[in-house]
Amino acid sequence: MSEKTMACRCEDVTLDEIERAIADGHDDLESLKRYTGFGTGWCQGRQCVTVCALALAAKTGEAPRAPITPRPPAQPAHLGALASLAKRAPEEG
Amino acid sequence: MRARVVIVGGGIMGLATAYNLARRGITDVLVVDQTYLCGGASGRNGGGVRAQFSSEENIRLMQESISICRDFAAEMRINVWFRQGGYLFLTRSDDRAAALEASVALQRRCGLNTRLLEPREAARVVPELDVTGVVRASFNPDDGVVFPWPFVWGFARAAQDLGVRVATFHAVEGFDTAGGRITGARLRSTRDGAPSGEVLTVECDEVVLCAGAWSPGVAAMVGVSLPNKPHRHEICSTEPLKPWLQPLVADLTDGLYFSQSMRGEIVGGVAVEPVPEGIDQRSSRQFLAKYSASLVRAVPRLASVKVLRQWAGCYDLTPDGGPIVGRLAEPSNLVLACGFMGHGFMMAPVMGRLLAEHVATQETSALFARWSLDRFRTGALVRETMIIG
Amino acid sequence: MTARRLAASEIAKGTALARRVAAATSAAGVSFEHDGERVRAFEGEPLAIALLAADRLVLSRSPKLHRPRGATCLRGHCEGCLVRVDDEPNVMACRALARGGESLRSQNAFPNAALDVFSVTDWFFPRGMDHHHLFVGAGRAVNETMQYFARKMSGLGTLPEAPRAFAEARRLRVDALVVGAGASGVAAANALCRKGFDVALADVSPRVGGSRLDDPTDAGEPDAPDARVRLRLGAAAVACFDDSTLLEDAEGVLEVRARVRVFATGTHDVVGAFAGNDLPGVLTARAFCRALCHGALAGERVVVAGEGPWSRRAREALAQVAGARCEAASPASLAALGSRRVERVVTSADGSEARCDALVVEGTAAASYELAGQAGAALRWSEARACFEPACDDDGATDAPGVFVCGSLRLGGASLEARAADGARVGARAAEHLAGGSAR
Repeated sequence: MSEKTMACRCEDVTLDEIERAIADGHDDLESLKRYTGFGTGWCQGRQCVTVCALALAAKTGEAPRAPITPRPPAQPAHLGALASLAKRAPEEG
Repeated sequence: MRARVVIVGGGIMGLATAYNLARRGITDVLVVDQTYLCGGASGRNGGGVRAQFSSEENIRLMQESISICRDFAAEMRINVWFRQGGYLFLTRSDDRAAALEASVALQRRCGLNTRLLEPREAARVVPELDVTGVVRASFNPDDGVVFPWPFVWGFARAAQDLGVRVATFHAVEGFDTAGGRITGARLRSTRDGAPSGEVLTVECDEVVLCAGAWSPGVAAMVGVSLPNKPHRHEICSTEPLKPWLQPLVADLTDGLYFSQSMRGEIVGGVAVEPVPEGIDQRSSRQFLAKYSASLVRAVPRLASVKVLRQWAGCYDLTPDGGPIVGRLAEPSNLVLACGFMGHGFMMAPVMGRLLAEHVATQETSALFARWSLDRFRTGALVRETMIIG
Repeated sequence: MTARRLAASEIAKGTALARRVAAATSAAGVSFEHDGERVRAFEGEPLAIALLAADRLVLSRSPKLHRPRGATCLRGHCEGCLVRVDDEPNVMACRALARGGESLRSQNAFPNAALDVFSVTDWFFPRGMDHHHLFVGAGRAVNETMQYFARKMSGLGTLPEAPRAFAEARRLRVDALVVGAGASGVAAANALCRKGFDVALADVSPRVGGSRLDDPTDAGEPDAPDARVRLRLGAAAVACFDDSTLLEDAEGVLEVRARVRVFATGTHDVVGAFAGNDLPGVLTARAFCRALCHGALAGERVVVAGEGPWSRRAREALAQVAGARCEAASPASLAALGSRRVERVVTSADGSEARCDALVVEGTAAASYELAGQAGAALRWSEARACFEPACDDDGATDAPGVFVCGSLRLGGASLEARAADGARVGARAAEHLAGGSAR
């Protein structure tokens, strides 16, 4: 395996790519996410958002005010389980 | 500050227009967006690109858009992952089936390769599909999907290389007018969230309004009342799977659509009723529930596949389903390009050319005359029924 | 063999670790298959820990570069341990508990995760794969050919072969929902319950105790929730909306409607940025401790990087394992080296290296703010914690009505006692809110 520092493991984004994207003008966290793809994979940013925010702070001198929007679901959820929410169901006692 | 043309809205419509203006030699252009590139509907749509429509003008425009999509990566030097896997439309009622048949006949007259399919033929296109209850289907193999974001960056970068300025994180707060014309746009920074800091006035000769669902609010600043309404539309994405789904599947009855992205996720949406009018980009439980139910009904094997993310954006809906495009009588230097329902993204590559021509030549084509704001006063409405979601 | 199952005789007698391991290994022995080979496990043990104990470290390949992937956090917060389990793709093996008879297969690799022929991709792109500009300059035909192959290579697992049936969604209406059954969550639930409110307490773990369950130096019994609290264990909180919270357990979805939501979701461990940080064998310190509590030793020669509560516990517990060796590395100059798993670690600025089987990293304990954020809590950057966190007042109330946060989610690395006290305080404040005594 080649020597790389990974910023986002889920989408194979290296720290080098993050730093180049920031230098290229994608210097807010939401733009950086979209351009590099960090935070869009399995963990939805749990592992990488801290690393990328620190990289952004190092380049711009200021930490981002807020993280990328935490979108539902917070954990991968099965379509088949969610499907029955569309029906009405009795409440548990 | 001065710019010959101020374009309000840095989505794909505004940036495609800016790029085409610059290609025509008009490079003194400022594109303004209140957030980052891809912050609005251009960054939130499902990436569908199709020529299967029910009106001739949309069919013909989309034929050209598809052709631009095919050349985009090589020409603009950024991958947009355009994949022509086709669009498979499904109908579940006789009424819908009849309308679909008429649309397919028109599409074929326009030169599309659309085929009308029986349910069992639709199941041959997507063997994983449960076609129970499907009455009729249509399939055009030349329709496809793109990855939306790089389209926006591609147009932005190419326009900037030609001299266009792009001001992200700037909101339009108002306009200066004189003699029935806009003389300047007033901007403020939104870098820190809400607009703050000094007002920046940009003197200009022309304003093009490409702000999608935000257009009515911007037009109201110069006393123009637009009939289009923002309407939340939600999308959902699953875990990445190895490729198995070729086309985008769209059910015209329940508004379900889904395709497989270049990364392997199943990406799609569904119509949810009722959605309150207004700008709202929050995710809802109702959508997640209905989408999951519709998708699992369509492809039962997806039951144990997991949702990774849902998000929302705003459709820009007009009363008749047609866009609102062209120069106004007053202010006479305001050009509208809004009301593209949920398909502004796929139309933008070709609309950017036509809008740039309109701004540069000041001439109004027959198409733009049909799509004018005036039609809601005169009653000469347009009609497009193949709208999803 | 490097990572392995510990025998009782190897652990110093009378220690917390010995008691933890004895309890974990008292369950019935079962076995499952992984890429055609039989792996032993204890019933109810996370599959990922059984795989680690069998020294099966490389579980899949990463999506684009085909770098080897292995369990890293063991808590469902990363993608390291994704495998196919029977007919289901992309299952977190750290969350799936062994029943016996499962068939596990590695993903996104040919012929298997250890040997994957596509691992050459990693060498072709030494700085990472810039997918935006891949083959854009060579004309449309070349670009289309690239896209054809890129699609073939995309995705992780494959579509399930058969539909799976789930139980109908269940619904529960309560006064308060507490998410997270660690020290602070239990204290908050008890505080609410003792004020007479109907409380549900949910946790993804099958047991109450939170981080305490992972501590090999502490075999104490966690505080129990009041008998009236509706306990929902093995239920992951998957999403929060304005009016509803969705939990998912082994059967299906449970939708909870609560007037008050208290989040005690703790932290997740971030490995941090250093060369080779994604190599199999690189574990968070808490993951290493969790595996140890199950009697799985992730390596005989261990390098520990960083100072903090979990690396301290890891060192202390390792000292109680006969033959285990432990070295320290400076986080400032850290690098993990190896072809398919960590083999060596750069331990100091002068470039000196240590051979090892596992690199244990303390990293950042980042607030697990996702659910609170979905429920409407404002989020902000914390300089002190070097992570994002929910914004709240001294009593854990956020800007969103009825949304509260407590425990290490808002405090970071506080003591067990401090977290329990915080849960009680925030629970009391949430009870006031329910009683109508607060504007929030």
